[in-house]
Amino acid sequence: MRFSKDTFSPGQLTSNENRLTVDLKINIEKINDFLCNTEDLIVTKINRSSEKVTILYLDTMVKKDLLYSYVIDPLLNNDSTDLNSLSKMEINKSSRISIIGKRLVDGYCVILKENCTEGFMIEVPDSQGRSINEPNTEQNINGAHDGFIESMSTNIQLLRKRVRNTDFKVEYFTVGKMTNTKVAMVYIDSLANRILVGEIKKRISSIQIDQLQSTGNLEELIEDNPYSPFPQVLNTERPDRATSYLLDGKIALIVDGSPMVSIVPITFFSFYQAPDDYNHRWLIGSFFRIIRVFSFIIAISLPAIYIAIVTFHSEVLPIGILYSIRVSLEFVPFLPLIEAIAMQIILELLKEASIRLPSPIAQTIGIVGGLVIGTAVVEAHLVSNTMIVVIGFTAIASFVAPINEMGTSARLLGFPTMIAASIFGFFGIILSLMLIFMHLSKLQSFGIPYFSPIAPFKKEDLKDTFIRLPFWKLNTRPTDAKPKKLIQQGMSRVWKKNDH
Amino acid sequence: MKKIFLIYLCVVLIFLSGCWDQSLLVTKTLINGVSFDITEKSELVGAARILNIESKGGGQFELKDEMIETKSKYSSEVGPEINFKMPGKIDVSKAHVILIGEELGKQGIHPFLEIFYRPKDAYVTSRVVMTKGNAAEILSVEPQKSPIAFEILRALKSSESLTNIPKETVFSAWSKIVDSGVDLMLPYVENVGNDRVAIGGVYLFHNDKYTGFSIPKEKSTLLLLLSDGLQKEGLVAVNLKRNRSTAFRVMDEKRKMELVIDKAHRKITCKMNLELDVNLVSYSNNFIEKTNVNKLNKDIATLLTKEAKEITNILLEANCDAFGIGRKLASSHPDIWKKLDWEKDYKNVQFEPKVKVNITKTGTVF
Amino acid sequence: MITKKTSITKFQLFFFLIQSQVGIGLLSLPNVVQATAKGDGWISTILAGVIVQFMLIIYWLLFKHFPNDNYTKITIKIFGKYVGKFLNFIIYLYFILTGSLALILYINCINLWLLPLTPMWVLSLFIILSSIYLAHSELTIIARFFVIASFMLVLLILLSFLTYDLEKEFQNILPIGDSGMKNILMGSNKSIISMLGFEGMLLIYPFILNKEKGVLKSASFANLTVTALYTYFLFLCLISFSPNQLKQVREPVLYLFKALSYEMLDRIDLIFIASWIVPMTTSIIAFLFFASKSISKDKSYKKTVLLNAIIIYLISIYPFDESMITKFSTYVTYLSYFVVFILPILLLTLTLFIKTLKRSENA
Repeated sequence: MRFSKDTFSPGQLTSNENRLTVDLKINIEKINDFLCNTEDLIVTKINRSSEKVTILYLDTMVKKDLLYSYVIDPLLNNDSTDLNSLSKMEINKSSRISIIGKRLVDGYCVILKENCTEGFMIEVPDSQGRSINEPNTEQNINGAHDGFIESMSTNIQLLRKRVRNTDFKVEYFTVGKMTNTKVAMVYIDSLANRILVGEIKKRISSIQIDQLQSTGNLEELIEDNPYSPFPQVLNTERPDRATSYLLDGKIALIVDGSPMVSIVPITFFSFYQAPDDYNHRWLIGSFFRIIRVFSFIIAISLPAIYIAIVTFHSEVLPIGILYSIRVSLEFVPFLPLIEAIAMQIILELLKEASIRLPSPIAQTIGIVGGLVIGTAVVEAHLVSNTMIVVIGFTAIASFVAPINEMGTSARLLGFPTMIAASIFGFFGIILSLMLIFMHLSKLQSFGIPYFSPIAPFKKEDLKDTFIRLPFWKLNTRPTDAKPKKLIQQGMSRVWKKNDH
Repeated sequence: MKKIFLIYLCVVLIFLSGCWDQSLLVTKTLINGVSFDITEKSELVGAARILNIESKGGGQFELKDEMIETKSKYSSEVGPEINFKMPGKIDVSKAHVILIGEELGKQGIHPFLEIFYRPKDAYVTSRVVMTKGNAAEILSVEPQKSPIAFEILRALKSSESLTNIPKETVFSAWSKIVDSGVDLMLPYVENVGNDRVAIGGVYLFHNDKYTGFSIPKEKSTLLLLLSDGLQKEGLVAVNLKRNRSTAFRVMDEKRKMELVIDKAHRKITCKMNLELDVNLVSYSNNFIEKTNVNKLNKDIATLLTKEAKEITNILLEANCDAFGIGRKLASSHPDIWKKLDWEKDYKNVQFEPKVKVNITKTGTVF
Repeated sequence: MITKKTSITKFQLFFFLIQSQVGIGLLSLPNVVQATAKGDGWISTILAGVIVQFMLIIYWLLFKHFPNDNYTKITIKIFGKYVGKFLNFIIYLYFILTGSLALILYINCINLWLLPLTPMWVLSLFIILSSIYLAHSELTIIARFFVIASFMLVLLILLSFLTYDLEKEFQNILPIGDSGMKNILMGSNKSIISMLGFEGMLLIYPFILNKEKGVLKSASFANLTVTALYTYFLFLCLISFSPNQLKQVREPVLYLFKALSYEMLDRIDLIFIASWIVPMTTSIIAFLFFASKSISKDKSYKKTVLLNAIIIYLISIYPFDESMITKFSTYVTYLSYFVVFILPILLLTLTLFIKTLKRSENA
């Protein structure tokens, strides 16, 4: 499987061919050739009093207003032959066709003169994008409602607005031989660990690939263990979340064209933190945190526990519940495992369907799926009542995760646990949970243990994991990204101290 | 290619060979209560009530239970016999009450307890109850509201919380039978006509055999209080002299048991001091005067002491060491314990019970 | 090479030792001790804990002389190449046999309580496979998982509070010391085999960070916790069961939970044994790790783990019956006396002897 070789490397065209000649016509032909005679390349002749000038630009990439006001107007009004001081915009010069071609594709316009072997390039890009609004997937109640959009510079602006610090550093990469997508690595220089930064730089710059469309692709290319069911990179669309991780010493990766920003390195418990926790009071925030972590365990093991109890160890239930469950199972012909798997698959199908459907129909599917299928299936004695309750509860628990990916991972991990439960009962559940925790202990995200601060046990980090201690108590940064400076604040409530 | 096929085969084999231990809930037959009896011809009669689910259509179900009786010769045969007679696999994991008939109790209840504590899925928290008369008859009573086993269980639970009868599960009964320093007491139920079953009192055991002696439910609370077994509260009603009667709740008790050993005459005296803190529930007195608490204390105390002495006499006659005197001897005077033959020597123990009553509250009126 | 990536902290050492000691032994300990020590079984476990503490001090003294070597290297250094290798083989054999014994008892217990019809080789296979998955990685990762697994122990101790509901008979303990010193010592003998696992310190000592001070403290704390745990459960069983009953019940700790019944849950013993799988598996992982570390160098460690796992598996699926298991465990006890007790003392005395010889030579 060959991916395209470096078509823009200067080695392709020989040195001579790559240069502009004195002849304007041949230059234009060469550039046209280089761009494969694409029909949206506009070649305009401008008649100045002093000389003839040709402007080339890609119609679809250039903003016409900027082009007319800052390039063509000055050209027509100003008669000097020196094009360097032509316009207020920055002017680049080059005589290589490959660089001119690249710039054209980036949204520049090129001015060519007769008898001149240099082309003058001015950037007049058109950036169309949607406006900033809250991302659909990560909503919260109190807190900022803006979200990242597709344009990389806007995204970096959203971050810079929140961290007005001179240590805020941006590094650009270009990834993808065919798409030439711009990737930006953003971090706070005085906080982020030097080795970590070097490692990520190494990984990104050594990617050899044809196309990079989105953050998801980038994630898979640089993560440690692509076979693990757990995501090792956090994708978020919220600037406030990204900022808080930057201030912890983590690194943000922004891909042009994708509104998702990746945060590396990440630990398991970061997937269960939401910006909402910090906007509520600390007791409420802690309560919700605990519920969320609890929901992970439920999402994995609840259907398995139910299957194990009904199939193997029905003695665990007290008499009241036992009779109800016995009654609900009376006429169901299938094994509990089959019921559970079938209901989970129906749930996943419903979820997928509701994403694809346009909104007017989506509501109907909700009613059809929920009420009709659920009730009808029970009445037809295909699935028992209690199974629907269990599966519904599991689904709700798995949607609680603030980051969708983790919730889906938890749901998927429930399948092997269910199968283990139906072969071995409680032994199987404990065995599969043990394997999952073993895997979590082994997993590393860019050299940082994934399950920190539980394994390795770090007492200082616990204050922001299961519970959220009051903000004025969070005096040290979490150590998982090994930031350079651990202490982030001292006594923050100085007014109180001064009061006494 | 071959490797993948082998791995696939192994994985599939594990699934195909079945899940060895599955015992689905739907295939289990749930048992409510079990009873054991012995007939005059020395045949063992085992009975069980099994759960039946009837569908009334539209997703509605009604729980009914039916009774099964089997006859067999030995105790170990009873379980398999019942199992063969009923549909589905037997599941005694929720048998709440185990009823044992009076006659069978006289021959020893240990073999029947053993059926329940040996298997791995045993339910050792089911209560063991004796019955006056035939146990299968009691089990076949059909009250309107709910299965008979639940009714018996409910009656047992409420009596236990009033310290009327001791709470004896298979586990605790087995503990006491095996221990040579203490003897068992089991509650018993009787049929009181009108499709109702009620608690009758306490049967006294020696080792695992019913001695034939029993203590009726009016006196059994005192017996339990003497054994330091007060639960949440104890309800006692006594009949005093001069046409007075009183009922009170025992809220707190302090029991001191002291063994005085006379080595020379080989006499063991057991001095029991029982102090009760009570709340008056009812006192039918002269309706003009206020209650004389001090006098009432003394009256109740004398009466209770007399009753306690009667109870201890019955215990001695039955050779039932319900207070655990043997255990106390073994731990405090092990050298004497080793020399004694408790089977015979228990009868020579002298009891000196003394009860003191302290009325702390008399209710909302004086 | 011991880098920061492969080393463990003293905190992790504490949990590592606890998890390798606590295993299948606890469940049947009261029954085993009852046969000899009767009401004074709890003194037996405390005595056993004292003996283990003494051995830990001996290990610590030994390692003061050889701070960067583990057990197998020390034997070679003191006894020379051939005798040393022979002794190392015995050590390796000891770990393999103890691991297999633990596995056999484990699957027998599961077979009895949870899954009677499932063939033993299947149970054994899955346990060994999960053990390989963890033992395959570095010591740090194993220690991390052991820290997580220790939360399970806390849960189980909390569960044990529920048994306070049952009738307690403190007189079973009295009179204290009635059984006589000899019986108590025999009880200690039986409880030592449940406490095996602390000898792992001989093999992981080189990996500990900052081992100049505090190692003895961590190890002693671990020993204290394990002894306290065992004594606590033994005590609980002694006062809840009558003495004759205790003689008959195979696993009194489990049976204790059978007698509990609540409104929301019934058979707590099922939950207990299901959760107890975690400490039992960690013991097996620990023994697998010790066996592989004692015979391999750094590079071949992963292959040795696989090989040892296969050996342990094959031993465990051999159809043992009860008398053979008893014989097997007696042999393992004797072997453990040698490897765990006698050999280190011998090594220490020889080291001191050699040092004093050298000093007298130099002087």
